[in-house]
Amino acid sequence: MNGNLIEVRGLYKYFGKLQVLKGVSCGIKKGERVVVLGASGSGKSTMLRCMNLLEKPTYGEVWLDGNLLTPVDPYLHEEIITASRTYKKMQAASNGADSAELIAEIKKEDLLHEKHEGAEYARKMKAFFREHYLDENQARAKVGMVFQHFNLFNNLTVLENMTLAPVELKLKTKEEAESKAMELLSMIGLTDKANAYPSTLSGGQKQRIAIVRSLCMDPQVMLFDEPTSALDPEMVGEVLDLMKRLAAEGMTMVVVTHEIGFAREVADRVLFMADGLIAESGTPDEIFGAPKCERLRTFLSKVL
Amino acid sequence: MTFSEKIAKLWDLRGLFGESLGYSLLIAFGAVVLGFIIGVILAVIRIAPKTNPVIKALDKIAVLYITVIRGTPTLVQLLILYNSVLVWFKRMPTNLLVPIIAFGINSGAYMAEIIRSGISAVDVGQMEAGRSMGLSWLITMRRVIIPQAIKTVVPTIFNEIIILVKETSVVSYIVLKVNSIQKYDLLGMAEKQGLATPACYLVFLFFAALLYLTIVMLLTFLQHLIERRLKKNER
Repeated sequence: MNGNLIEVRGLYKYFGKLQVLKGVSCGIKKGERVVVLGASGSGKSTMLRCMNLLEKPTYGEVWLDGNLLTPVDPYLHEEIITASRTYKKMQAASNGADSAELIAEIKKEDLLHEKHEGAEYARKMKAFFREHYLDENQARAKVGMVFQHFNLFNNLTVLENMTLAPVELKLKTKEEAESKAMELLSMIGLTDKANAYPSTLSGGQKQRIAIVRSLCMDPQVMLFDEPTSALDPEMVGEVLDLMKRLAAEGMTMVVVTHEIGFAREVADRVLFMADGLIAESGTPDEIFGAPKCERLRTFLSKVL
Repeated sequence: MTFSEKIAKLWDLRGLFGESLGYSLLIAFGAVVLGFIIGVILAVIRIAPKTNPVIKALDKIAVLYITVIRGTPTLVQLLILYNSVLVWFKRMPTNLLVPIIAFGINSGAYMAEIIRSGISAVDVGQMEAGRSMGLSWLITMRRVIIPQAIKTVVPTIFNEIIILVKETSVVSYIVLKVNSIQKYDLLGMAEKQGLATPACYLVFLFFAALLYLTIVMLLTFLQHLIERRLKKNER
């Protein structure tokens, strides 16, 4: 998919009647550090959570390293949508109108009722899905996620937290996982906490352990969902330092945050989201130095 | 027999008391284990995301089970099971299996709701963290959610266990009425031994009450022990 490690295409997300994402598309290249900014309710967290399917997009596709993670969205594939009965009917009625115009006229909901769209359409959908689809659990194993509230497993020790998934998924033997975990713990200077339970740790320690817990899976990309928002101010630094270190080591990262300083220093690209769409995108210099859209200027005046 | 002779006879029978006590506890223990297994399975089915028709159907069955079992008296359920066995096998069941199954099925419905409440109380972030690393719903449930849920419901589960232990006294009524040679539990003992004069019966009842009280106090002690052990796991 155009050399993108993660690609999000035409993403719509509804929570009931509330429309949170309104057709977001973006690509994350390998090794790229992308920071997503936006006011609360702008859909930035939802977009991030769609990237590893913690939220299922209503329409649209998510691709990881050339694999499709969501159902096929026929709207995004001309060869599929033109095979639909709805399209053919419209084409016959329109006397040779432009195909792009016709596609734009088709309502997304209509295409969800696959059975009514004819055998050719169903066959194309199925074939495309089979060719590209990757099971969500396999995909998630390659995508690390760090949460605002850490979400360490409270019933397991730090070491067990780190080894549970790689061992359960048979990516590593118990010994391999434990030695990798200890290596990561020594990197963050917390080897003495290996057998401690999460409830005994400070917020900053929890978040750093949550980060290395994800690293223990050897992920291709790390997603950060407001990783410092729930921390006491004096602990924000230690978490950001670890994230900068990851960035320096070349990890692909997508970070939803309010830390403008971090965005300036680390990001290759900044996405500004507003109203369920990416309103502006560019390098930190462009975004902070010469913001183009009004929404971004207002946002920056509030946070800077 | 004078009253004091009867009391003396009661004392002579202490071995049988012990035996009866054993049966009582055995029924309760078997029912607790069975009820707990049924409870966990039902709770997981109830809480599972209803994504495919099989889970939807299982959920309907679970709801029906819980509704019927919680909606009918234990005694009636026990009688239905005993009489069903009587009808099919043409004889009264004499082993402990029937009361264990009856009480287990009964308790399972209550345990299901208790455990479901425990699962609901676990932060949704725990499941999200598990899923985000590629663990399946069921594995995250088993390794992360259920251990935490159980911890929060230990007091409520023990409440249910205590009720169960005491409820097993109901067995005597059934077994006694149909088959007087059975000696399955404490209350059944007295009538069988011809000790059923009111005064003597009263002494016996107090004795039985004392025994149950002792058992329940021991259970409460065990509960506190378990709670303390689980708490230590956090520190």
